[in-house]
Amino acid sequence: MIKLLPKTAAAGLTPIKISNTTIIEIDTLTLTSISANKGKSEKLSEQLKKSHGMSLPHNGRASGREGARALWFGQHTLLVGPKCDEKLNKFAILTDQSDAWVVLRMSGDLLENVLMRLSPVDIRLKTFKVGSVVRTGLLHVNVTLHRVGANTIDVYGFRSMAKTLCHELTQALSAVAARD
Amino acid sequence: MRIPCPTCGDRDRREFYYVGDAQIINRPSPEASEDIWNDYLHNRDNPAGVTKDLWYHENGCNSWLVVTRNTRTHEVQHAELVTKLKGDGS
Repeated sequence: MIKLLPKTAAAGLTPIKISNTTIIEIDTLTLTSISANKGKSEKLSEQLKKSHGMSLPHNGRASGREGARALWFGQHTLLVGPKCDEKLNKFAILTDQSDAWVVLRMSGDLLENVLMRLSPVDIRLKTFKVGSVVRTGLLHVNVTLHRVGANTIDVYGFRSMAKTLCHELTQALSAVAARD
Repeated sequence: MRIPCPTCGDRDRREFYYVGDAQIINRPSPEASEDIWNDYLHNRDNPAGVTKDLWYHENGCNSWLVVTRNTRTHEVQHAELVTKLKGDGS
């Protein structure tokens, strides 16, 4: 059989650099969807703390740190980074989502203005604090935004929409950069 | 127009998909009479005042919501998760 090479979701699309703002792909993460069983959220949170060092995040927040995070993901939680401990199985449904998402890391001064153009939520850095997570639209694409640092936001999108996402972000970045 | 999603907070209407009258979630039993099924499928009230609609938060937490609004004043009063109303939520 022909030897097939694995390709990342945004292979050939990133890195993007316009003005001092960059978009890179984070492709080394294991992503696991954690959906708590009915009435088991507290037990799940305890087990998550034992297994991976963080409790379940509150609505609109992330817990943990770079390399092992839990993101509020609407009706479930997304474990980002480590391979999920099987023990969580007792309290939740676990689904491996590693190849289902594209994760783009945007850094730079134009970040705020670019995302404000594309999303209908208040993403101003003074209200969207470090550690905040929001599920929203980026034009017509569903995304989850997570502010990881002072000038850095991670964008989670469906893998199938990677090209569209990169295109929309590039267009908005160029337009914002042209105004400076 | 903003909808107060119980999981996400106040969000722009663009994030939601409108489904229709909220009575669609109260499905009659399969044995119910033809009149009841006919009513469920085809007949809707058109009140001047408070009404309930079913919305889907497609650009957000993917919840189904019953939103209470006033057709006279356009005021959006309340939103509740369908899973909560139906008692299926955790």
